[in-house]
Amino acid sequence: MKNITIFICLLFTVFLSNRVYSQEETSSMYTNRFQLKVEGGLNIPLTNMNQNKITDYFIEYSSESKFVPSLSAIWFIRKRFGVEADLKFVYFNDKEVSANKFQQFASNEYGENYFVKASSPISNNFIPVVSFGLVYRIETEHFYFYPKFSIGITSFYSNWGSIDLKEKNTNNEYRIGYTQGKIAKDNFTIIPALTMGYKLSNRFWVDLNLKTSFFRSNFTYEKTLTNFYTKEETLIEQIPYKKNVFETYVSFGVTYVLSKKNNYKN
Amino acid sequence: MKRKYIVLLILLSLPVLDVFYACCNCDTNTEEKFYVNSGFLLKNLDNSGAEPQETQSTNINKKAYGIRLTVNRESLTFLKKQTNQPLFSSSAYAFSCDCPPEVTYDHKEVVKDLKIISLNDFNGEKPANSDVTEYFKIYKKYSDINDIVKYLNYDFGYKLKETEYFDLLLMVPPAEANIQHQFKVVITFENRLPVELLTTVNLI
Repeated sequence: MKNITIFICLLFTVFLSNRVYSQEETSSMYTNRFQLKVEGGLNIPLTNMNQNKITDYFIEYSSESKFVPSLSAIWFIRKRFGVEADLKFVYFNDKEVSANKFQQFASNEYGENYFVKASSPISNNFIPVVSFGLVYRIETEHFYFYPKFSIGITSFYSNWGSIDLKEKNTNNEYRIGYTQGKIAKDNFTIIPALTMGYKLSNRFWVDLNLKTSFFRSNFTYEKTLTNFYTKEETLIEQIPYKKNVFETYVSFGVTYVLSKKNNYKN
Repeated sequence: MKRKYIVLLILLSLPVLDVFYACCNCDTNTEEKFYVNSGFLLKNLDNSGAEPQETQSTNINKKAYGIRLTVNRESLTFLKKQTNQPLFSSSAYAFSCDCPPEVTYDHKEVVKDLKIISLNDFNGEKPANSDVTEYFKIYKKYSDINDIVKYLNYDFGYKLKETEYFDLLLMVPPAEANIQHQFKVVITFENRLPVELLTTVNLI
């Protein structure tokens, strides 16, 4: 009960202070200069880089829709234009599933004639995605609409994997290895976005964001077979990962207007 | 006059250098002990499953046969003690500098060679009493048998591995006609008589 009272008092103070502030202002259009925003929403992959091969499990990049938070800051340098820095918290938490699927695949494929042990250093990973861009602003007294264009880096790990095969009823042992011929950790990403929102008060705004990101994966896995006895290594297959990856991020955000200015040049 | 100052400066800097040395000086009494490979034992292995298993069976699949060589090691009495002491200052133990282990166990006997002899006809190329060492490999690296010599002459730090075993897998099966086999493992030393071990098996 006490907590609710404190919360109501806090809300009252915030809104009242903003009303007091708004009485001093003639208009809320194009007056904010610096904004901070917290967002949360669903990151939906429209396409993914998967090749429907076993190597898909080694890549620490989620191809499923996930809730992703992000933080951003906009600084308006002109009445219509601003710059934005954005930090999106992307994560991969399918370690268990990927490792199990890899072992299951290896057992199904080779289990009849071999004792199978699959291993890969797949781990749950947390990768911050940083992007910078330009913001164009269109505002009314109560609504705002910001088209944006940003560039950034999308990073992920593509792990190695191996399947140890001990042939049943013999001393023969083999290893099937999956290694990257060309490693690509950081991928240049283009992010067009739209933000539309409502000005709740002079300081607090709420908005809906739609971001589409695009990058092209560019690396190749090599599948090799090693005979432990003869030490012979044979290249069996090359698995290229060269695909366009599109994602959509639909999120709700709360913006806090940090500073204001009235005399922008057009 | 100027030269005197330089000499004095060098003399004064010596203890300072020693302090630096002492900071990084492990200065422990390192014990150097010795060991001998005191006992060897041979057992037959069946590697039909996921891993090699010791077996009492006389009939073993010839494509999955192996020999387990067990080595027992024995520490000898303490022989050497080394002490390092800085010139001017005692050790500050300010930080660690990859200090050597406090106790080391060095090999006393030098193993020269290890060979596996087939006492029966093995195949067309290897009649009875032939050296078949090349047909065996060490599990799990599938390295040459000669690598065991390195392990038998290994110098241990901190702790002596008192028992160790090596699985020697037969990678080339014998000819179809030959079933009964006897393998003799001969370990040659530099400074003592060789050790000979024997194992009998039917490879089917």
